[in-house]
Amino acid sequence: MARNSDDQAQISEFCEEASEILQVLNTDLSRLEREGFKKELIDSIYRGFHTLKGGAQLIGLQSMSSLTHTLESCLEPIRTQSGMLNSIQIELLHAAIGDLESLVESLRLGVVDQIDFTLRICQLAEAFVEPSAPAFLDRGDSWKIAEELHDHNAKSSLDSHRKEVLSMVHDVKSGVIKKPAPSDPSSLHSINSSADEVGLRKESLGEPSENASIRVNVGILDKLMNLVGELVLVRNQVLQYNQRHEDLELIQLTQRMDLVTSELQDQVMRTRMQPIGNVLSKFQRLVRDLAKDLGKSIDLKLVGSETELDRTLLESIKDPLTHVVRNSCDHGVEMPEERLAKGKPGSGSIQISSFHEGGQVVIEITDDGKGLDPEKIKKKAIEKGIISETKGEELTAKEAINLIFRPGFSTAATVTDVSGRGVGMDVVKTNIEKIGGTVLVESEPHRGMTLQIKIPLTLAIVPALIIRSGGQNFAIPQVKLSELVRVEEGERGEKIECIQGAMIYRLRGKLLPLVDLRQTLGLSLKEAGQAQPSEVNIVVLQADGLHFGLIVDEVRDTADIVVKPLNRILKSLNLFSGATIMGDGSVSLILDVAGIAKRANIFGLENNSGQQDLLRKEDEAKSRLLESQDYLTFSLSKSGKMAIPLCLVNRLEEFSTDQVQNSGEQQVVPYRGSTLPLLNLNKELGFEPVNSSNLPVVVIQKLGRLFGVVVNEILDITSLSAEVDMGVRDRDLILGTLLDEDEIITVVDILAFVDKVARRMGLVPDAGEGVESSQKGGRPLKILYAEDSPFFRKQVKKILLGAGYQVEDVENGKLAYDKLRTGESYDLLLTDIEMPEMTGFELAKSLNEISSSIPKIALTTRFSQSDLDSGNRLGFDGYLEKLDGDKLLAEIAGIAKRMARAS
Amino acid sequence: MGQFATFYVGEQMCGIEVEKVQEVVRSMPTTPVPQAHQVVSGLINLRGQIATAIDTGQLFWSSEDSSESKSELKMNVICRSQGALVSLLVDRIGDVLDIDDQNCESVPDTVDQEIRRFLSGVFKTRDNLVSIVDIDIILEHINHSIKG
Repeated sequence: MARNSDDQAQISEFCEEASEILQVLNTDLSRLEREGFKKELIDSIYRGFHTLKGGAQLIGLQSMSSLTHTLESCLEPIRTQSGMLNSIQIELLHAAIGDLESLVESLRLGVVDQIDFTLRICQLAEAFVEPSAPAFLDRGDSWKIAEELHDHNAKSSLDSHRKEVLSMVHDVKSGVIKKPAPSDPSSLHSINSSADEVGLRKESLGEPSENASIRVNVGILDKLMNLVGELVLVRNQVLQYNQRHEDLELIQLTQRMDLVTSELQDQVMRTRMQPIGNVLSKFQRLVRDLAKDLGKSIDLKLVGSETELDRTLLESIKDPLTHVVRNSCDHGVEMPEERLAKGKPGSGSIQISSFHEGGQVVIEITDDGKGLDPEKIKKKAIEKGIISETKGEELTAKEAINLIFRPGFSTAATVTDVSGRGVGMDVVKTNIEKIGGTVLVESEPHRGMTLQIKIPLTLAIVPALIIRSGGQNFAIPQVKLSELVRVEEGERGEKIECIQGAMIYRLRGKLLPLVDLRQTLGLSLKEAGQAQPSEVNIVVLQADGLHFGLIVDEVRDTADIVVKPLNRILKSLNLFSGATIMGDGSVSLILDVAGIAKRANIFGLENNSGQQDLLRKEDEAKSRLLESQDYLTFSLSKSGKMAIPLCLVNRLEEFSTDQVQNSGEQQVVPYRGSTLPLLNLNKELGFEPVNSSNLPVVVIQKLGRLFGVVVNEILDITSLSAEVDMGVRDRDLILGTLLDEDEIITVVDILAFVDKVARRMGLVPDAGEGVESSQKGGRPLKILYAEDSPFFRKQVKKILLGAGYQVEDVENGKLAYDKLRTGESYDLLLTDIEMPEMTGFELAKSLNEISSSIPKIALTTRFSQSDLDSGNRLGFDGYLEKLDGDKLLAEIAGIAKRMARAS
Repeated sequence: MGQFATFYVGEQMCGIEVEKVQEVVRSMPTTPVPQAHQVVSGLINLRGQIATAIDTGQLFWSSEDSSESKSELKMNVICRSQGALVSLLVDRIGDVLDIDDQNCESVPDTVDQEIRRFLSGVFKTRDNLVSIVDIDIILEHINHSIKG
């Protein structure tokens, strides 16, 4: 009989399982015989037969399925009515189990596919309905069994015994039992002979069944692997010892030991690996059945089923894969008519190909169905409230397709029996990501879609880069690694830039923040007996959306490491994800890349509400239009451009040095009939003051007073992103950095600067108006401030706090709305217009709907007449430009006065 | 109360339930864990399994002398706690003692609170007092002080 290899694999797996069950059945039956009736034993036997029946049906073993079915039916009444089996019955059960055993054995050897059990079935039927048997069976039962037998046998392929059987069944049916089967020598003989035949064939093959396998607890395998690892270490030590001695025999012996150990290690590793075909072959049947149910014709093609991966991983991809395949059958492949109309072959095809790539296993599920429709997905996502309508419009087709991975998104337009039961692709994605894998989707409308799943070969062994820092080895998982950069000593100065003490490397024009591992881990600066390395080794890492360079002392080697968990007292440090034992037996720590980034303040944002939030924010920032802000750029004594937001600048002036006068220690110049205090930014930031006859001055207005900020040169006004990267800043007066094409621009916190200097010089503006109006009935005015850009949030909050207001800030309109709706009381709402989740306009609209009477002020960089109009329509009390501190405070003071009057 | 394995931290005799102890090994090369709690002296490789070494001297006398050279001479009492291997670095190993409830008392109040919280009782022998150490509480404490 021609069987393909998939079927063969399925059969051998079934045989393995069946042998196990039969073994249990044997013991249970013997116990039943010895210990008398026990309900749980009967139940166990019944279950055993039931499982066998299911398996037999699955691989199409008709004869086995009929026999087990009969056995099940025979036991049914005993199970429910609790009667003991008589000796004949027990004998027969034993015989039946024996039959099954020989069938399984012959299947395993591939000599026989079917053995005819009709006789045994009849014997069973007789024995279990025989009137002389204990009266636990009534006629009704016997009828049922017989009828079922009839049905079964009618279905099974009938042979020479057919007539005899039918007549017997007929007899049974009519209640006339003629001959007691066990005493029939011929029937027994025929069965025995078939068993003998099997035995003979087996002998003639001359070897024990070659595919023999046993089930072993994975724990034992793990232990075995540990011990082999240990053996390898001992071998290494012996080899080292050997090098110092010249004993020829010892050298020979150790060489052999070396070989054997390597082989052993290899084989033990293999015990954990299994071909992916073990899981995939089951899909043949799944697809066949699904196609039948759905009235479609689908062809499943498996490519590269021999690709091996870790057993535990195999288990965990089973369910996600099943889901994906079901999806493809149900939603992907169209009905035959539809396909033909589109000019495609009537039968659809799904291909699952698996292969190794870069230390990972790649599984691609491709179908030639209708593919994903980005527009439909968008609509659905908006409907389900996963994205907002405005956001939907901005999404590209690719982004839209990826929405299927969002929680709560079910692809099924209608819930069908096959898929779309609320378990969506998000579950597939989470499950794959849980085992360190990734999922990618590609789709071409009407041509089909491809889902690519990448998973590591094994969880236990990961390829890693070994680095050295502070005299200690560390391992970094390769998956987190994107590249290695080496900066030679000569180039160090120009390649690694410093912004206010924070190190930055320009990686192909992009800013890469650098983290010194030694510093982060607090390791000793110098490795004993080793000179400070002249070059800088940067390991560029990418993990969870973070991108940064890690400076290490030395890049050593790559190695496959076995990951061992850390005790929880060390895990909670969030710096190391595990430990591993190196070739020399020493223990090395595995770096937790995300944790290190966090520790090094790669996100120096004040809002550290967890990585998830940051990631989400990052996504959102990308998918909406970036807000822009005008900046005034200027230079100081140190290289690099500096900038301040233009809206803070009152005027630009240039004074000559002889205009400068000293008022006490303070330099001032006469200006518009008053004096303008001059503040030297160079001095404050610790740079050298410049000696020039002309002083370029940026005039800043703060709380009704003017201050002159002396800079080296005023450069330009540029419109740049309002998103200041606050990851790299080290002192108070720096807000963060911006990237203009290839140039790093440092943003100076000019308000803080003016404040600081003015305070020190006793120039602090009298605390008059601001504070006075910030009170409402004796308590400070409480302001809710919604703004998504951390730059503005920080700035505006500072202005407000400085004026004595109480401020609570939130990241978007939705959060503000939630706060206001749940009844938290605020006196005033300040809101940005462009925000993720809920814009300022939407927020105002929603507030109007719940008839909230809170005064609202919009702060924005968007300033068109139409925006002003819609702002007025929505009931904003004020519409101001961002960072215009004085106007804002004046506006708030005005509102506060009105409120006070009203109350 | 059962059998207790005893060891010395400095001159102080301590005991731990014998069932918790897997084995005692001589000093082993230790890989320090940067930024870890000061009582964690590092990780050791115990036949392919990784054990976390805890310096009992540090635990009882905080910063007092427990220089690295000295820890080379220490013994490792390998214990099992919540499925993980923990090694207590001790100065000397004592006998296994049978301890009954009669000779066991709660820790006197005069013992420093810092130390008392790691002890579950004191056992009197004819010529010595044995502090009974609770490894689970020690780990709990370390875990807590990291989070806090």
